[in-house]
Amino acid sequence: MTEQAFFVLTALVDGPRHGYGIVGEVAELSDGRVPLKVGTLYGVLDRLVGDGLVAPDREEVTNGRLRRYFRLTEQGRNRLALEAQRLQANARAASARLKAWRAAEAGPA
Amino acid sequence: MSRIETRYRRLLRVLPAYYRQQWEEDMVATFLDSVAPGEREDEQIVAEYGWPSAAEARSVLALAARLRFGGTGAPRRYALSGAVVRRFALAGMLFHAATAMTTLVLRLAWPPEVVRTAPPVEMVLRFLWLPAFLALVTGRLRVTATAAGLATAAAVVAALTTTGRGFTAPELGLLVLDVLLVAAVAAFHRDAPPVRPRPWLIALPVTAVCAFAVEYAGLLGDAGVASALVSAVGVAFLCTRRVFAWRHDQAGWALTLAVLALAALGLRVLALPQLETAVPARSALLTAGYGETVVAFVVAVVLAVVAYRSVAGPRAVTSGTSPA
Repeated sequence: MTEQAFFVLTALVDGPRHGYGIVGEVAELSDGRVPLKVGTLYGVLDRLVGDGLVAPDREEVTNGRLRRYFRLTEQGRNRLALEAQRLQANARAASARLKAWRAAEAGPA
Repeated sequence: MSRIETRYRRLLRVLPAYYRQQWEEDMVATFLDSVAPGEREDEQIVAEYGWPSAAEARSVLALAARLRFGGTGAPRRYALSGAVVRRFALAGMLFHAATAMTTLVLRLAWPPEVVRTAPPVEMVLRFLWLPAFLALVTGRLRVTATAAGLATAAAVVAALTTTGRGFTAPELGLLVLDVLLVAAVAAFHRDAPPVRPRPWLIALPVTAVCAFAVEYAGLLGDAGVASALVSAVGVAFLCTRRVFAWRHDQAGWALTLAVLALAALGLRVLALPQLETAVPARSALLTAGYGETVVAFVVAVVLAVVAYRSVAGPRAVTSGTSPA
């Protein structure tokens, strides 16, 4: 799973959002590290919808513009949970090794 | 409709129709939300005079490359075009990498006073195609794009500065192909099936030896080597297309080879006037040049017909997504 897809799924956990809402939420979640451009967002969304992880929700018209909302599916929630566990395990492994290394470095001195 | 919306919709036309049908309205709404969400005066100015930013345009172009040169799971038409463009890039860089090596080796056969001088810069810079090809085969796309881009730029600079006479027709033809090769790297995106390195790595020394043989025998130049090699591979494909690995993707291979054959034929034709002035009339070399052009033309036509039939035919057997 790409970082972009990971953040799009995360942005939809607490409820359906429309395209621009997802862009804003992803920017906030990633501390501005993942600025989604529109072409990139819809490339990711198209794939997530195709894989059944995200589904179109409702449509609204605001300021004369159509806004389609997207929601996370059950499958999407499970995939995101798995991915989060995987990243957590990776981070734990790296931290443990770093901690051991620091202890060994500090030991002889 | 504001001007910026018109401009953005125009940009979205690079995307395939099936995709626009599904996503265009969403994309436009999200884009407009991001640049001019309301009715404020500054937002109105953006809506009337603004353009989609370079970053927005890049994201749409990257999406277009991924969709139009599709990979696994793409509609057949786009999967096929993806397979063809990727093989075109591989074959083109393979050719450049192989001939860069043979040119330098052949130089050793020149008169001693030439061999002892340093080789011209453009001859050395052509070697950039070797890392470009190897990186493409092993999936290091940034290296490929950089090396191929530099090699192409070097060819332009060399033609403009060293000779001071601008481009000859064959040089211009080769340059157009080089630019297309660099652009074709965009077809190696995340959805594309990975390149199987082994056959392409084996093809490198084989192509180099064949190019050496052709050039040593006939001294027909790049165009001659390209059309001789593509014609030979084209004939081999036509004779064995139901036997070897390419039987799994006949349409894809036929189309790839037809494109390569047409490109090589174009180069060959562009280089003919140069050959006519370089060698005496009625010499064996000139006859060989004409003969090669006729063979390349026939092979290109037959390949194009086979490609058309296997793409359009009801029994077309292609996944289009088989590895390059």
